[in-house]
Amino acid sequence: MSDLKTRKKWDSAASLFDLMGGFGPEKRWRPHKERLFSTMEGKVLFLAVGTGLDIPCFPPGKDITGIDISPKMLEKAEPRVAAYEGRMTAQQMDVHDMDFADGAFDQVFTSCTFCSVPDPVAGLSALRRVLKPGGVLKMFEHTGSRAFPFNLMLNAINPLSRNLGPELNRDTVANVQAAGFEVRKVTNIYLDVVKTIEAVAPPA
Amino acid sequence: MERRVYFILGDLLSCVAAGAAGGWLTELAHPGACFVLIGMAIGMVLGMVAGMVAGLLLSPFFGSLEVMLPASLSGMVGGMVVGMMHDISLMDAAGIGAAMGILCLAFSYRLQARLQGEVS
Repeated sequence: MSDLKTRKKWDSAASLFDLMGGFGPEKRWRPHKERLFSTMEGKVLFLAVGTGLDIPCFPPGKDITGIDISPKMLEKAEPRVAAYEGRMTAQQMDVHDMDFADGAFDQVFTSCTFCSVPDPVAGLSALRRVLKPGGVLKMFEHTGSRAFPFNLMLNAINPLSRNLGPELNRDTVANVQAAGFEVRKVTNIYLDVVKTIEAVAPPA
Repeated sequence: MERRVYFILGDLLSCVAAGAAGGWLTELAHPGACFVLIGMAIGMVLGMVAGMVAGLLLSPFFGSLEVMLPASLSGMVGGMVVGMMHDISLMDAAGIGAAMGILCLAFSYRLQARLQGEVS
């Protein structure tokens, strides 16, 4: 069953999403995202498409299936999906309830997604299911911090932030491990808050 | 480390604006001569709120958490320092807050240099 609360939250955010994140944040993160996405190979699942701000960072000529929980976000993403120079589809789907077959994808990519998935370990376990054994999960995510005083600040702001958008204090690396992935590489982009995570679905 | 001039100037602007707003707001709301720890606590809360608002307003131009975290810290520290002071003008309070913003940006850049890169 689709998570209506999360869907409603991101439907509400869709109208302002590009205004808040489309210029400064995207320009700042673009070199790091391009580096991560440049390793796309085979059949790729991209979670979550949002308004498609990440699509210009994708290398051309790939086979990408995008999903997002919010129909309003996907409406905004349509022109960017259509402009992608490769094979790309985007559909409304909840990560907790994906109807893809087991082992359907060679790789899964996420971008600022697991700050918002309500049950991150269950969501990551669902991604492991749709990955082929030995398939790769690559994430660009923001997490909580262990560095004082930013750890205290993120914890203080989180109760407000989680109602409007993302959670700010998640331990996504631990969640990836708890979902059964083998974490191969973690690279801090900004402090220990914004990071890339590379993990492998263990062979069956 | 961030090397693009546009973003470095944006970081500086954000922290100076957030610190100044935190200092100014704290002085505006300060009950005058009060126990130094109470003034500091008032400044911490008001400054952080002012810093967050400044960070949110400037974030679309200069970056997300790279702007909001140092800006919130700048507002908080600016508010705390001004909260411990007595009999200063609003202009001085904003100036002190702005100076704290520069220090907070330097702190966050130093922390970034230590934490960035591959960790596992």
